[in-house]
Amino acid sequence: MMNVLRADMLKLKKSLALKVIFLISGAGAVLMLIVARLFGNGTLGMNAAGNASFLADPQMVALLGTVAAGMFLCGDFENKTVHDAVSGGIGRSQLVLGKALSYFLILFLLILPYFAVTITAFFIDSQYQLYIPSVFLTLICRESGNALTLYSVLKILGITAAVCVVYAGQLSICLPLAFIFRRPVPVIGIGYLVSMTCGMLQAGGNKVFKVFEKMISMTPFHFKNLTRLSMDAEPEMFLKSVGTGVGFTVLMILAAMLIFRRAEIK
Amino acid sequence: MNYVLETENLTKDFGSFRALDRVSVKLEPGKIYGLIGRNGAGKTTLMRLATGLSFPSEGSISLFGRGGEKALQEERKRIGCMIEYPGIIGNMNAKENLRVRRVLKGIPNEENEDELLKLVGLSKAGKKKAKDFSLGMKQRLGIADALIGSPELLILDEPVNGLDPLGVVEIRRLLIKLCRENHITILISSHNLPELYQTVTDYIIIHEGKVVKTLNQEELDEKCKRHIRIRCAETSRLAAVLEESLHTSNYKVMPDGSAKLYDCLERQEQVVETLYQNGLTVKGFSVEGDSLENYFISVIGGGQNDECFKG
Repeated sequence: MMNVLRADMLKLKKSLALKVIFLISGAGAVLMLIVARLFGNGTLGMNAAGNASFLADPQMVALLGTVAAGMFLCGDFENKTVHDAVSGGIGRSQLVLGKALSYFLILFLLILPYFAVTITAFFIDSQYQLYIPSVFLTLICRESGNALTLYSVLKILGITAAVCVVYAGQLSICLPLAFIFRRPVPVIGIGYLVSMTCGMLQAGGNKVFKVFEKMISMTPFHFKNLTRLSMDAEPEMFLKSVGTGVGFTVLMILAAMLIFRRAEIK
Repeated sequence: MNYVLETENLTKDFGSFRALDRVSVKLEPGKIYGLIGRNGAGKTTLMRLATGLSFPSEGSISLFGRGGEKALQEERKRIGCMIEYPGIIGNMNAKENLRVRRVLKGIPNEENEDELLKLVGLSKAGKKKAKDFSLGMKQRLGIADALIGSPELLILDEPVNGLDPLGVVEIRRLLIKLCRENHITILISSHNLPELYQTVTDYIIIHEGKVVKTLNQEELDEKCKRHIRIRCAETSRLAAVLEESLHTSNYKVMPDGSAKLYDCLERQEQVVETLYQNGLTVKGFSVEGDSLENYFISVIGGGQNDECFKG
């Protein structure tokens, strides 16, 4: 498993696609901050919130995360890294686990700019407007201008770690998809669609939607898993979010292992 | 004897299509095996099964004397392979590509990378990205990938595909050297039969999923050796003339009534004269030597020399 991870690190270091994705995420984070400020001081009207929501971490990570899965997980079937690993005696389960770890590292890189922007906001005393439920945007709106203490840094680090686990849980759905389809388009399409659909199913108010919401509440797609992560969140809230994320991730990794265990590698 | 690779009644079905049908082969150490067959005969399927990329529907595989899933996984660390087309990471150069494969296989020696690139003739590829490589360069890189970690069994599917004539010779020499000096067992599939003839020590001919013939180089040479082909209406008299007048029994009467005479190749005029003097009407007289292609065609029942070498 560690060999798979090491080999992936070598590939990622040289990957132009990863650099582009990271830059897009960075640009998204900076623009999210700028747009929140423009909303805050009234330069931008709230009717632009729909488009601006794509800059915030929930949308950006969902989109870039699925793209990353399509490129890096499926790409290994094309460049035969998967073939080499299996024919070289690496266990299929170990391979899936190694790939999952590499993928989660990529996701961490996508979230990193949002963490950096949040810390930066502490040093900028300005008015920000929350325009989409986002952990980082909430932190920026509530905490900007406050003194940055060791406690607050640690808390933000803890929140970021929990957010990483929740996002990893959400995007772990791409793991079994990648081992089923092995092509970027269906992985990106279905992965993003699941993420968007789960978001929409929680927005409705009637009985049917309540049932969906109940089901989704057991997954990392439940929006409360993210929105409840704030500076004043209780430890059990963190535990619940992290627990859901880890549980779902483990399930998805197991599903990917099961799918790949006896699969033909063409 | 511990065979490097042994399959017993190996069968692979894809739905209702049987790609491999009860294939039993035994690969001895230190030999180069040529896997010959038409497109879709089952060559790649056999290789994919041996390397764990596919699973058999029936039958068993053992590597280095060990069978069973766990043991096979362990033993596959002793295999190097290139199946179908070489896997390359386009945005990396040759050395970086090798490094990824080396790290993936957990091979510590970094200096291996330069040695392997030199061995396959890619030492001058420098920083050129693999995506810009010619087909031949990609093929060489694939072979270098397969050689990482000094494998004891090398499985190569069409390794000279796309190589220029000089490249073909270089790869042939390399494979022969690896086999002789490092005692590596090699299984190659190729459609380039003349090339295969100069490389391999043993042949496995596969047709419609079945192994139809296994033979070594000596046996093939025997089957393909030069002869005089005599076509004559009176076959029994022809045989008598050959034995009594030309004093040879080194001939074979073929089902079509012709005879293959393996002697007297330097005395063709004498043969013609003797046949004439004995009142035989010769319809055809030619010097032939079966090539591996002809032999292959005869074995798979492709028409020419259909019955010549059966049994």
